[in-house]
Amino acid sequence: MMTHSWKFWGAFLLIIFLAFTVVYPLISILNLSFRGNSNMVWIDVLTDNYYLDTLVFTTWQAIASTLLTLLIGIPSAYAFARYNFPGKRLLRGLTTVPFVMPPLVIALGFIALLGEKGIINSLLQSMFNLDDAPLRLMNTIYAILIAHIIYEFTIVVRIVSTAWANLDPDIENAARMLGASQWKVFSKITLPLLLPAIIAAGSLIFVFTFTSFGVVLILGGANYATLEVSIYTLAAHLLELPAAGVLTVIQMTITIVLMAFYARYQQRAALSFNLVPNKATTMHPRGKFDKLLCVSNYIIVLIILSPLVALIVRSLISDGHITLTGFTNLFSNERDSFFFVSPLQAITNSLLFGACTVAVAVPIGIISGLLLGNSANWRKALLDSILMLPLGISAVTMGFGFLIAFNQWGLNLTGSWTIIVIAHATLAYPFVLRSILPVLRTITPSLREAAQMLGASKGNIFTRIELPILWRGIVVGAVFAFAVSLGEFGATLLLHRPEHTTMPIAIFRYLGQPGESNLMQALSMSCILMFISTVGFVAIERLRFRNLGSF
Amino acid sequence: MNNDFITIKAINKTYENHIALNNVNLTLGEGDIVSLLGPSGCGKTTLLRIVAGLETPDTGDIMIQGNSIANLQPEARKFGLMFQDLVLFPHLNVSDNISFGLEMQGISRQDTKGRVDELLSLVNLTQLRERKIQDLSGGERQRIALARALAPNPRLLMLDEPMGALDSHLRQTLYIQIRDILKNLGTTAIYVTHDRNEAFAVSDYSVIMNNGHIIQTGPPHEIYSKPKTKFVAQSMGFQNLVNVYLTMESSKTFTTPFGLITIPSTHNYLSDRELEGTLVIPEFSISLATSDIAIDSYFEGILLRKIFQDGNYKIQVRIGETILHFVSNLEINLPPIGAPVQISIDWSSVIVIPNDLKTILG
Repeated sequence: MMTHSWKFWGAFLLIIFLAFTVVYPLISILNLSFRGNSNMVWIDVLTDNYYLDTLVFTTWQAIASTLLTLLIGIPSAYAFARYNFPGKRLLRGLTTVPFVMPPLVIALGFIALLGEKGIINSLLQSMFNLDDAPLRLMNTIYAILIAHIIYEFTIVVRIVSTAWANLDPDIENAARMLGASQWKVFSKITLPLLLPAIIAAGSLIFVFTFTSFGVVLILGGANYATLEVSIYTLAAHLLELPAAGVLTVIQMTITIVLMAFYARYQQRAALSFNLVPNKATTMHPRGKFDKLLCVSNYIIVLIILSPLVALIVRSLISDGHITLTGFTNLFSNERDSFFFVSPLQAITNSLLFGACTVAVAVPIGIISGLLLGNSANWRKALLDSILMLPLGISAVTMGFGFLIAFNQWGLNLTGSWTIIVIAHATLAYPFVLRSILPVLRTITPSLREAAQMLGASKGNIFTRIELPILWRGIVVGAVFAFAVSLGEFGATLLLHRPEHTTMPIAIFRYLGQPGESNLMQALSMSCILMFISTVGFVAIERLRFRNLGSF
Repeated sequence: MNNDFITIKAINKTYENHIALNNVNLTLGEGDIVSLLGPSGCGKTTLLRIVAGLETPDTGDIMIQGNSIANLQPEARKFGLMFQDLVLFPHLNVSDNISFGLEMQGISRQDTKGRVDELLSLVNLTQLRERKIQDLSGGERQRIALARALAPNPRLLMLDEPMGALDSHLRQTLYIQIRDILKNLGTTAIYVTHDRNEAFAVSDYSVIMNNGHIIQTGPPHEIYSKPKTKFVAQSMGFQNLVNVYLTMESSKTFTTPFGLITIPSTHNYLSDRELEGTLVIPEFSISLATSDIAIDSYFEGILLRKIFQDGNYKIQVRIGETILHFVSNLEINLPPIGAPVQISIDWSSVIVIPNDLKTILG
């Protein structure tokens, strides 16, 4: 199907794109941090207590988030893997909902639920006739940790429970028959076999929480800043670009090492044991302990979803009354001069950026998929990991890299809408690639040969076999790209001009303004964002071929 | 009937120092079903792919009714291939899979529909017309793959281990159905398998392959009764293969582990010089000796094992260094394991095969 020249031009285009969007910005950041060929900035940053404290805080909150998520997640993963209980599939699916939401939606949900004017505080106040909100979680480390657990919980369920479900229970039974106690079986057999999956899940959660931006920015307030938040503050407000560059390089090194860790253990998790079909490994809960585990899964899912439910409820209630003013103001209020754009314009911007992102990311994803193709060798493995690099680079890093890279050597794209589209597309195309590749790999040579033996020409094979099979993968990838663009916050915050305000930016701006009315608009806008994201991911779930394209 | 409908002529194929096919010649009459039988890696799939046009031979030709098709693309040969892993199109339902080949020929929608109905009833799956491929059972997929391959009326249908992953019970019912269907349609077919029972049940004659060579060709009973080489004898399931030497005294007398034995059915090719050979003793020619036969016509051995199977005892007896396998019916009272037994051999049904392959291949 691919002629040589086709492949050549595809590779050419891809290399240009990667050079422009990944390599060049990263080199620019590195160059900036060593400005004037000196390591002065590095010494300054590394001896400054503020920066060191930030690094320490970023690390320990990521470790704490990771360990807590694993602690709660592993028993839950066990119940999902080994027991049958009503609604299990739905419940498992629901754990993913927060993960696919833009971080701002989760943060706003958190405010709606536990904020000083949140639902729980209002209920407590009216129940006990209190003047002040009794629960004060905002701007504390607890808010950040809880939000991270809610956000990342599904990673443990997805990775660990999948591995656990495929682990043949007879391996454990064999150990018991050889005289091992239940505890010995767990510590000597089950745990070692699951360790690759646990490490894979842990390193992924660490990377995500280590680079956490929206959640920390909104829920941590002025008290807490991760490296990601510091980079943003240094670059956007203090204009300390070289220092921001140093922090970016430090953060990127750590995340890339951990992503490599993740990739390595993820592979091992899939390889290391007897895989048996899930059906054979599940049973009905019998003892009290089993039942408790299953029941706790219902409770966990309820807790995980509660911020999103609270977001909807709170956006409809103001001062104890049911109201639609939050929403109606979004569509009628044109007076917000500090925005330069109306809320409606922000929604339109978001949709437009989403569409443009799809238009750029989908072709890039298809070209990369076709180049990676069916077979695997070291060159393709290398290309694959380079292509996946944007997943390991945080959004703020990407935005910061673009900010300095495209504002030098006579190149000035900063402030343009193109730069936002390119940033979104760079963050989104790995998702397109990951949606297309597994589908592409189902188109085996023998499938083509089967069509050929039935009289199909090369053209027929492409239009009748390859394209229709690939089509769903492409659509799934497109929806992914759209959703990534829609929820993107960190890079856009650094790159946008006021007239390019998107929904997440608008939410952030509303939050920065005092008063119930602004809060209501932030909540309502978050609801709309949540709604669009949900529609997108329901579409993905429905369109996806069974068991293909998961991460 | 046309005796050389398809001619496969002097095919050679080498992959990176590995000879996949070595001077392979084969002719098929119209309507013949031929089975290619051999262990995995013997070259049978390569031969199919070359005939299909999916691989190019290094040398050789493929002809249909005397006309070479070696330069035709696979889709222009009008051959059918049923793949080992079936490769049904996952995005098309049952009827769209079957009609794919018809559409490629530009056959009208109306005719296509009729033909699909015809094939569905042929494979007895009319009710599955609109079913998704993912929702079919293993046996159903097999039959749909057959229907898809048959739909465009291929001039030659090739089936590459089509029973692949099915369990043995299902295989048996299915390959008998496949033979009936092919015979009813008069389809010329090559059926690749490594299971001799399957090969013999499906085909009119079999081709035994090993290491890229065709070793023997013939109807099942002929191959079974006159295996040309030790390899063929093993492929036919003979277990009692004993090394022997031709003596100088007589062209039919051999030095065997059982002493000097005269084999009446020995072929002439063994006659001119001392030759090493293999004695093939069919199970049915061995029996436990009863008291009323002459003392010099039985052999003394030790009973090693008796395994009850299919209503009989499978017996292993050791005579000197040689272990013989045979079947004994229930009526005979077997001595305990380790006890001496007497067996007699009917030498008239024993075959001698020369070990020197060149003697045969010339």
